[in-house]
Amino acid sequence: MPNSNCKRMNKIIKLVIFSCLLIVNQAFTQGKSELISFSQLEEMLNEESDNVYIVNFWATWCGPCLAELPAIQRFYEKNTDSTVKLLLVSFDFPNEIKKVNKFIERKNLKPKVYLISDTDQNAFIDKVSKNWQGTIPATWFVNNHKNKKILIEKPLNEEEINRYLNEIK
Amino acid sequence: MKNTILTLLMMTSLIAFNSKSIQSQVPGYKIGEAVDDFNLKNIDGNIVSLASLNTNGAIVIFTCNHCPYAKAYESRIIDLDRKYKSLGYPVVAINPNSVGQNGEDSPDENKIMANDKGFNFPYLKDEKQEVTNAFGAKRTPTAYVLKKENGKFILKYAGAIDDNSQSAESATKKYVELAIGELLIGKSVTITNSKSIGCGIKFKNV
Repeated sequence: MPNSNCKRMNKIIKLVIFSCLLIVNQAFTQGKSELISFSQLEEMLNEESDNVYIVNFWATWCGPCLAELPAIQRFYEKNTDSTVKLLLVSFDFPNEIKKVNKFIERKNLKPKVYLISDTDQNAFIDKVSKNWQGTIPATWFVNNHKNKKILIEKPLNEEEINRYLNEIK
Repeated sequence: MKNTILTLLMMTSLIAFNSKSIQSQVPGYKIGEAVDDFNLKNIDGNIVSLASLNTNGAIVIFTCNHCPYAKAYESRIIDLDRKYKSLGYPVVAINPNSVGQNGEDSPDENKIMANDKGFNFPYLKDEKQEVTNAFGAKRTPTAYVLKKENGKFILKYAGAIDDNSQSAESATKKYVELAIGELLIGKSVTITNSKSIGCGIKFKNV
């Protein structure tokens, strides 16, 4: 009897520790950006799922991108469709990650932010779209399930985000 | 009267619309095309044209003072000029941005920047942005390699300076150097275009 009690206690302790770790982990990752290579990003978008992705290419130094951000935030906050995933992919240099994290905190940015780690842009710009000249902001609407992809090379408002999303859904 | 005004208004808006759509169809000079010469003011107040360079070619680079990508290339731009000026391909830097509210990218700021960094080449201001539009430049930094043929400057390469925006040492394809290297031995350029991320040029009234 005392033995089984001990086992139960052990289980509870383990559970508590696990939950604590989870909470701590969440607290640490929230508001933190991560480095991502273009091929990792592609892999994520190509995962077998019903997910539809909206990838916004931006940077903290890009004026028109910052002007567009509130619309992106509003879209993100209003979005109730769990299969629609919005990602912010920044072209800030990887060594500026702290600056980007501070920016995320200051602006209370909710979507997940990645910093692109690739240095050869010529190699991946065409993989996103032959039509993309490399100007940001640019937004990539990806529905891999239906093999639909659209790249829009201009700042978008909420209505436009919804419109392009519907085009690929 | 009202009708005439309305028609006139409609006509002008149509013309404006048309000229805009024509503009967007012409993204700038094509490879192999002759570039129109320009007259732009340098930081010392002198007017610089391609003809005034008296060279076999030029590396025209649209760049600016605050863009992190332009900054990352500053020393590489200086090195390009150092390496290729004596070979007939000097750097001609052009700041295409409309001047910001706090004087960003103004001629005065360009002067300070050029002196601080030790630019040994012209740093021109494209006040009217006509040259920028003619080249079809959209981002800083963007480079154009020109070679003089029969008195005309012909576009041979357009795009990024190299394939690594963060580190000159890690660049594996130095597009501008490759292009000039080929031109210097009388070959045609293999890689004539490349794409890159950069800071969108700030156009007036946009």
